[in-house]
Amino acid sequence: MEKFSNISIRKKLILLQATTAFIALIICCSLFVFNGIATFRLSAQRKMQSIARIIGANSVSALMFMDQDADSVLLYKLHQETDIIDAVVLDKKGQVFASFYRPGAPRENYNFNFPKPDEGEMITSEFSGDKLLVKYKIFNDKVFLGTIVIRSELGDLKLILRNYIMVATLVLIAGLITAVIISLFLEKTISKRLLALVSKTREIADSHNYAVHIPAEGRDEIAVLSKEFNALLLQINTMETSLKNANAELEVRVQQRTVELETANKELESFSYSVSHDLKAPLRAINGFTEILVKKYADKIDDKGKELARVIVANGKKMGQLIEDLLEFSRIGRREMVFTEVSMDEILQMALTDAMNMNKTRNIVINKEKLPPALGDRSLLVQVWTNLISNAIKYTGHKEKAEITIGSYEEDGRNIYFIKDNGAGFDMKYKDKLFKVFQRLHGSDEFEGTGIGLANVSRIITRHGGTIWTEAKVNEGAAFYFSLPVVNRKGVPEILLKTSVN
Amino acid sequence: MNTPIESIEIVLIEDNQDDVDLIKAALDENNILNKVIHLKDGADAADFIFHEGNYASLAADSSPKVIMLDLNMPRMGGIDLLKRLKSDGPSNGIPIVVFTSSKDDPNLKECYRLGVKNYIIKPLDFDQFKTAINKSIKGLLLYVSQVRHSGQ
Repeated sequence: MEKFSNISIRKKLILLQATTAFIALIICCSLFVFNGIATFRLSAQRKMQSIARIIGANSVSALMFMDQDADSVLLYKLHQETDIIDAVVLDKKGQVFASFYRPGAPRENYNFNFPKPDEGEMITSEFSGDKLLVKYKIFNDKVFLGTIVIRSELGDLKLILRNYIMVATLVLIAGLITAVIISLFLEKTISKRLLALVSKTREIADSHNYAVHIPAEGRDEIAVLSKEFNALLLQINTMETSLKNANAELEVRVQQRTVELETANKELESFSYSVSHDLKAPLRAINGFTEILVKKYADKIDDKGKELARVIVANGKKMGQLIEDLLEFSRIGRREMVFTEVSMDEILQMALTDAMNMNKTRNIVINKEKLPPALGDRSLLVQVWTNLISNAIKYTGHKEKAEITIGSYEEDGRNIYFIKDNGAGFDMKYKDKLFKVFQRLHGSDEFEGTGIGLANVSRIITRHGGTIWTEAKVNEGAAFYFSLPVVNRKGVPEILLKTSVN
Repeated sequence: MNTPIESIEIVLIEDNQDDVDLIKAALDENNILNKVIHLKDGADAADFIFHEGNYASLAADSSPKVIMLDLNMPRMGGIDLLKRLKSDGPSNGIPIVVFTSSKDDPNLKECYRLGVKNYIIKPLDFDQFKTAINKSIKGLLLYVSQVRHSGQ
């Protein structure tokens, strides 16, 4: 059975109308029928009572003279009244004086309370079932002569009742039909408008056009609803417009910033190039002429002078290296990245082979596991491994046997790659300095280098959306960990694409 | 018959006098004793090569040449000069080696596109500089003395 709340308002309205009409009609028809029955009984009673009075009046002389025949003739006239079943005239002692029985009707004995002459009404009527019993006391000048008892049946009542019920049913049907017609008309003014509101709402939701107005005529609840809906639409429209404006403004700002960034990037690029060009030219002159000086004037410069010249040239070269490193660092930060799925196994092997070829005299043991592929710029990731491996080899230089372990694990949806060595290590309280440009934890007389390698590695990992961290102990070795997003087939995360300039 | 290598002129186009001196010293130390004509920028070089401006009265000479060209110079830079050299008939065939101070030089790509395959990134170390110059210039001189002559 359908839940009432699930039934459409249209059906509810019709149901409501019909039910109300039905109940009202039932009440009216019942009252009508009861009234009809009451009226019928009253008129039947009046009729019988007047017959009783007439017979009573006419029986006075017969009773006084005990002329039974005359009364019988009188009673016989009652056969014209088909309702009357039987009539009895009793004398003052209660003996049957005269009687009439409808011909063909079964004679039945019935008991009735014989009224006392000096008590109660002159005439009484009592209904028992569909029969009416009328008793009339006959007096003549206050002298009690006898009683007349007439029994009749209310045969017409059934017929009348049937007619009444028929009429009531017809009225009920007509009433119901009228109610339904009225409901249908009401439905037009209520549910149709509601449904129009619904379809308009759906249309607005589909088209996202909030700059419309819903017709809201009249003052009823639906009109109020429509008006409120219009107010809501106005609010949404205002909000949407301001959102659009804000978006457009933001877009313009992003474009401006992009242009600014591109300009800044180009300026930085030409600045870097100028630095390279203009800083190197005087260095070249210092180095070149110092060397020429030492060669051309070898006989005029003593050994101490030659040593000083060597120091000048060595420092010139070191400065040149610093300039190169700085340029490389800035290059890594600006370089456009091309994201692909990179086989870490392959590029690690490449970097390892190069590193081992350059350190053939060293005793180095490499333990490595199979690495998962990474999403990133291949050549930059090659630089990461090259730097980390050369670092590990460099800082195990004092060890008789260098042990380097390379592996990976997955954590929180990212791949963590690591490289551990058993080299010089460092004090963890300086770990923040490690990844900064030209920051070194060892003197260059101990381990050579400018301090750019790890800064480059850190920059590359950061540009890939990853992080890099380290664990180390003095003289026990260092471990470097870096995370990279796991390769998924859904494509490159947007945040990574945005970090690549141009 | 080959062109004698000694008769080939080296046209050095370089704005930095220190670099000019270093290059000349490097040539000396490599025993490359050809005549070096120094021009201080691209505009000057164009005037010289095409006999214009200050060099308009220069007598037409047919002596074979090689060019050592710095890319970054005031007035007319190396690239602009290259474009002119490569578009003009006879100068198109002069072998060129370009100098730059950085492998990042955006002009290097442009040079390659214009057909110049020889370049030297000026090293800070004088010995390396010497070696690089020796290698490039000797190759060019040999090329001019043999291949180019047979083409005439």
